[in-house]
Amino acid sequence: MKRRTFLQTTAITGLGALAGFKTEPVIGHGDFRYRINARWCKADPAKHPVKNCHEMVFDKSGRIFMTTDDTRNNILIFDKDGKVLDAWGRDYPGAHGLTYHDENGAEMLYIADFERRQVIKTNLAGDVVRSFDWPADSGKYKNKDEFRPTETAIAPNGDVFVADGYGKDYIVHYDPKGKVKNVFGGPMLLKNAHGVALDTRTPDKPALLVTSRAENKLKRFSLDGTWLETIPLPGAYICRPVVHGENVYFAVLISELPWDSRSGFICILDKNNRVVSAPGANTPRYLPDGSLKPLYQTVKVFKHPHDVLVDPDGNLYVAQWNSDGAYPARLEKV
Amino acid sequence: MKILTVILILIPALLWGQRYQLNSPRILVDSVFFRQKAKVQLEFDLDSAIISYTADGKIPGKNAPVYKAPFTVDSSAAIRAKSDHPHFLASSMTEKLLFKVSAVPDSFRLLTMPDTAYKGNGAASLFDLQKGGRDLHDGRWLGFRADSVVVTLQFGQATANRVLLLSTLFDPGAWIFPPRSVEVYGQSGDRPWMPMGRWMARPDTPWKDRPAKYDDYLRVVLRPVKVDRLRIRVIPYGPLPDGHPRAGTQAWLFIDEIAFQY
Repeated sequence: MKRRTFLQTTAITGLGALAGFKTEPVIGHGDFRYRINARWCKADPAKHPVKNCHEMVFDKSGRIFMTTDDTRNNILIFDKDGKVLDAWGRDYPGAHGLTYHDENGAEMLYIADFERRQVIKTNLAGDVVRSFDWPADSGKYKNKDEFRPTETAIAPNGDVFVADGYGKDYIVHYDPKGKVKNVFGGPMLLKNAHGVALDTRTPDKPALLVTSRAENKLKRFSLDGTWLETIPLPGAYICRPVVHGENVYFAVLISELPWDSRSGFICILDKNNRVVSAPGANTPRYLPDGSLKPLYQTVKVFKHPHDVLVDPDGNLYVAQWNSDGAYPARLEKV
Repeated sequence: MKILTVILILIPALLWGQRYQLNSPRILVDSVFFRQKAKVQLEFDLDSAIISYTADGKIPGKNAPVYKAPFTVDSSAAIRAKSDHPHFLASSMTEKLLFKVSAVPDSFRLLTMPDTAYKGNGAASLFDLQKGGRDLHDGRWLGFRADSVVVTLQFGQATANRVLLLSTLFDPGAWIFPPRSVEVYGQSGDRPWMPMGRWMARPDTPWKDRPAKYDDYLRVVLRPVKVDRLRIRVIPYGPLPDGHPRAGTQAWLFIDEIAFQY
């Protein structure tokens, strides 16, 4: 853009603002553009403190559950307007992954706690139902301390897949009662296997989406642990895949090292796993050879996005790691 | 007219609910160290954004050129750039230094072995005119944990250089600190080795609030006399300082290039 055009655009924007247009800026691309609402969350830090805000899920009634590693309230529960409805949990120092599962009407949460080296299944009130412990007999681990789970995905039959994203990068497949059925992935295939999700876009061929965060890649596996496909997303340190309709959403922690570079953004794939929008980052562009040009943060809306939740209207809720105690923000679809 | 322009620019600043700052543009170069010329490309792919830049080390102010297309430089340069957008606060300035290299040695030898985890391509990594990236395993960085690091090199013909550049990095969180000192000795024919130059870190250099820096260049000013070979002795930082979570543990030294300028 020429400087003269730039000044004209600036002036027109200013006049537009005067005329009463909404004034929060819009980020994103194509059909996935959002107005920033950083003041969505009404939580009071004195009552409901957070350290890192890790992951968020909806329950059946539309309440939002969020994990934080502040042991004064590991689970915060919000309504759709960002008001805190309830809080519980003091026993999860590494409260990280949070997955919701409707178990024939019984609503369950799976909390991946990398400090406790286990995944804990609770009901929505926080009553513990079961824990999923390190795969001692798999031969892949010397001791419990090597296991630092970050995420879970629940299969239609209730089997549980746990990503050992801060440990040895294996995916551990349990039956619903916690018995280990398989261990796959691992450090040769995955680098920082931070997130795992069931790919519900292919109901006839169920698969797992696994983020290999440190190498900026999304990988697909069959439920029996066979590697199927790798989708490179250069520049995007993707946290966990969030499947919504035909799209996959990611909070991107950073777009450049070091890990605390405050260079994160949001990334959205279409049904063909091509990036269609990157709110807070550059315009996604593919080269003639089909490769994606590296993504990088353009606007400092977020520091370290760690999870993204999509509501039925397509609005996004973004939880952040290591962001000066920031509560989640909302991106309102325009 | 100028006043009107300022008012129009200020309107969004006054009315926007919350102002977000732009990140800095990306400065991409085909080679930080080059013999003839280097190609420079600036990137900031956001609708309605512009990049202002300078290639002479000046601050890119209001009269700085607006970037349109890649360009080349044929001498050492400091590229500085920032991004602007009508809806967002301007980015902070970013900078990349480019170095025109006067001579490349014919042969070289590492007398101190790097750590096996960070051995790159051996001594060749130090003279390949390739800058290392953020990934310390990219094969361009050599990592040392030793009391001293010694490198010898031979020029094809007697060569005079005014500056030796040691390209290193600082990342206290990764226990990587710059050296304490660099000593350079030169020799011509069978004559005795002679001191060519020395660089010393300031003893009170603060480290706590400095961000990690992966392009930290130390300049050793050399006597501009022709020599056949050089011997370079780098003294690493030593034990990590008080106040560091691993105080007392040996710091790492990382080097990705040794280059010469006249």
